Amino acid sequence: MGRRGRIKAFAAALLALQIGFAVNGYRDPHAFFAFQPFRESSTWRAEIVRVTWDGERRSIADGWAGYEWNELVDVPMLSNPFGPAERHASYGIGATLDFLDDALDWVADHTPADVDTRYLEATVTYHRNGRGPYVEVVRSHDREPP
Amino acid sequence: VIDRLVDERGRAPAIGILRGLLGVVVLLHLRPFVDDVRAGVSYDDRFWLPFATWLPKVPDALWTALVWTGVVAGALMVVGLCSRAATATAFAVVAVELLASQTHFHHNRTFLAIVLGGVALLHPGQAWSVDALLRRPRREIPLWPLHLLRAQVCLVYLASGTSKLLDRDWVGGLSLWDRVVRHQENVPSWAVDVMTERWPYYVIGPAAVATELFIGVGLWWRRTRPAAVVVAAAFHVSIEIAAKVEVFSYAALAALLVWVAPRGVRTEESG
Repeated sequence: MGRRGRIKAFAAALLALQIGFAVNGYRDPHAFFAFQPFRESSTWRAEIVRVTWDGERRSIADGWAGYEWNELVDVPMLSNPFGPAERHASYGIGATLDFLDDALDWVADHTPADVDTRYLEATVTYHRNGRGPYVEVVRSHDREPP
Repeated sequence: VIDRLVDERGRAPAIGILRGLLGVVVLLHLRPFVDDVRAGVSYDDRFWLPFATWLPKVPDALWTALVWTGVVAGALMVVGLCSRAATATAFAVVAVELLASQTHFHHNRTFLAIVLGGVALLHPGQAWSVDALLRRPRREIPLWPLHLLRAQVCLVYLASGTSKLLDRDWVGGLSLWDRVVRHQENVPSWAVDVMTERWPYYVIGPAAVATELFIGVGLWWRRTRPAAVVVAAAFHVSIEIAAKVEVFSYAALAALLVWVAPRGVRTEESG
């Protein structure tokens, strides 16, 4: 392949990749690399509790076992979820719920000083572009018993 | 036409200005990362998520080195010293940061990476640089990376505009109206009554979508380009006023320089 052919192949591959991401954004809740900013005006808040091995449900809004949600999950999309006012779901409610689900798993795996939590659970109340409220529950995986 | 675009050569001094501006944008972009590194915080100390499980985690020491390398590259871009290497390095740093964790993803960072990659291919030290003062700058450069970068920038506007066009809530103004109503404390008091009414958004919504699509198409054609550049500039300034989008407005405004016509364009036959 000559110089002209290599340049055309490179340019075509790059543009095809960009278009591919743009199309994929219609099925990916995060729309990674799809350039779909300001997708929704949706808002949300979450009541996040840790469910202990003896079945108690304790809010983590004020911290627990020396941990703070906003320190562990220092991601603008997920910080300050506890309300009372709903906050903007800047990348859409789908992306928020998906990330929150992963964040609960990550927190469950990275809080060794917390010995009595079995799993974390978030009850999310949200409005999608003004419609709602809707409620969805996401939870982490079970942690190892102490 | 494509063969002609591939073979074009010419001078594009505006890319030198773009390089300097992008250097500033890179430094602004890196500021929160620098703050974390100085505080001894690495990205994996908090919730993070790899794009793929097979992607290696960037070790802490390498992460720190990357951030500082990016700062040096950004500073070199500003003055135009080792311009091409600095721009390519800045591109690599931004790309690695972007791909290190899903939580690092933002559209504006992707846009910055695209523009940095394109500028790195364009011999960005040819003008407005220390490089140009120290050594004789290239008289001509291949212009195909400029055409490619232009196409990529247009695709960004078109992808954004099309996604809104296909979204009934956006094109019908509901998304915009709902957002303004929820944040009406930021609206000037004299405008609150009108801005929180639903009916204006049946016009504002489609107009916003049409604006992005016009920029994406209008930039490409010589006749509509001046209008598209003006509309794009106003569009980005209004976004910067209305929303927090990190460095997007600065990068996008600077990137309008890719539409400055190159000089002395000629076509060189190649195989």
